[in-house]
Amino acid sequence: MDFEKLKTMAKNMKINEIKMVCKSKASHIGAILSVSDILAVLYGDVMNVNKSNFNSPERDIFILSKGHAGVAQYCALAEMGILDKSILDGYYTYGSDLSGHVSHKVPGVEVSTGALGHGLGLAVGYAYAFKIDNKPNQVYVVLGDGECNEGSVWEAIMLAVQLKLDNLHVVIDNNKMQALGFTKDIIDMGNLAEKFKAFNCNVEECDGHNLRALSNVLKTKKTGVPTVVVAHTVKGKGVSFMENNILWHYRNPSEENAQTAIKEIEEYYANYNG
Amino acid sequence: MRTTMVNKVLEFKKKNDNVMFVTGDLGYGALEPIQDMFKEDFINCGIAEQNMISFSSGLALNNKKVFCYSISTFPTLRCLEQIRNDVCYHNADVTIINIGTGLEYGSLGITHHSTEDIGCMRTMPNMKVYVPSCAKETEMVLDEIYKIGGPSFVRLNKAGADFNGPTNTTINEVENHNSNICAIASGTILQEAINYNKTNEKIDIYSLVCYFRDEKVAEVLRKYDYVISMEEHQVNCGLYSYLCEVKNKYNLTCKIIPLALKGQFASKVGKQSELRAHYGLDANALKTEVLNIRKK
Repeated sequence: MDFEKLKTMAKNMKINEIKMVCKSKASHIGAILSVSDILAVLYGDVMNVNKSNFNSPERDIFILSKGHAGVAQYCALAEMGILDKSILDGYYTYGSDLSGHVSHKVPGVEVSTGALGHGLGLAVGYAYAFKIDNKPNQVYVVLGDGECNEGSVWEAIMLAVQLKLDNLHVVIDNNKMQALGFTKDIIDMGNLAEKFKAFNCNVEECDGHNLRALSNVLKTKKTGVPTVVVAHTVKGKGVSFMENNILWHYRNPSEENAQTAIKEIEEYYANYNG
Repeated sequence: MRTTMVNKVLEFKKKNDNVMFVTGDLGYGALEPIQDMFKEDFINCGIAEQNMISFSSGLALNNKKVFCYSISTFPTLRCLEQIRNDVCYHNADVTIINIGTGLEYGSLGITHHSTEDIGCMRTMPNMKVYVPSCAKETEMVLDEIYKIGGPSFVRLNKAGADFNGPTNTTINEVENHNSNICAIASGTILQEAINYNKTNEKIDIYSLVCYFRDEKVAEVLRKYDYVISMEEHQVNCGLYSYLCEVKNKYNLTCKIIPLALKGQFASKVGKQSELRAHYGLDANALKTEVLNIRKK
């Protein structure tokens, strides 16, 4: 892995995300900052998706099942050169394809999501098609931990295990919060890693903001079973007043909030060696 | 109709290895030939319809041609959002094959009556809705879908109506007696109109198969003073609604009278034929409507 490259990518993504959400008065900045390091490592270091192959049959497939963090995917695609950065300006505005929840009308986005619990089933379909065609492509899907309340997630993982989909990589952005508060106070799912183990998945855990750890863990796979990475994250990561505060699931940052947040993100990555 | 569907799917697989068949753990005694031939391209998703539809979409978006099978309300209402977002919005080549529709599972109770499905499927952008009445129409519909691709919804019953002369997949003339009244049936309830004509003063009869070629349907409506719609479906959003939409779109003057469930659950226990009679959808109900018209 190129640590400095990933660090710069994650930092640029987060700065753009804050600017976009601020300008458009959109929501979900907490969830966006939670998942961004994961997406930086997936796009920047793990997946076979790049500017020259993102429309070709050779590419890996990525699905952001927690579609409300769509800005993070748009910014990752922009950092990869797949999406023209000028297009980001249209986010959330009339006439643009960049909807709040991620849209497949945007170059580089495979599927539209937003209603939770759809992405994993789609990913299982992609992965099985690759499998029976003996193709090497891998399928990556990122879910939220709150999203795991959806029964369809468990329907999908059962089939993935049954079909022995070792080309399927499921990442749980485990920020321990959902729409109305902490997951433990709403639907306490206990230890998610143990739950996926009980469903016979290959399960790994890591700090979801540690770029080196993510790089290692997201490259692991085990023959004959899907891999689930439970990435422990912090909602609003890198911005002191947003971290673990449910308000930032909804509130759009003011200009002043955004300036402070960007400064903190720059400082965070300047001092970051993880 | 179910056997016809199975044979058609086997035929498609011979032509195209990308054809896949997905079931939600249903089809005992019917799908075995598909399972035997398709091998790993036949997938039983288990009793999990939401995932069945998302999974089918994922396959289709990865270059597969997917036929997705289940019964009753399970492949439509249980997974409506997956159909909308994953299949229709992505224009995925998924065909939902729905067996045991309308009141076919009469005595099993209302959980197994699929009487809102046409309405739900019709409102989905990109979804092509087909309701064949007989084996031959089923064949023609599946051939069309194979050619043009999904998203499609095919509403079937196990046994078709006694009609062997369809010429198209839009609306077929079943009987022509130069009447100023016609019955337009959608699906196997066509049999009730055919039965009516056997013992009564005859009216014209049509089978409406697809719900998206309005002009062809308007050509039929234009010929009549009275049209009686016949469907094993709620009166809202199904055949009756569709015919009214076409009538309005083309400024037609015919009077359309519905034989349909009037916003009610068919909670009385009975076989399909008994429920048709109880809820006013059968040949006798048609007779009453025709007599009412002729009194005018």
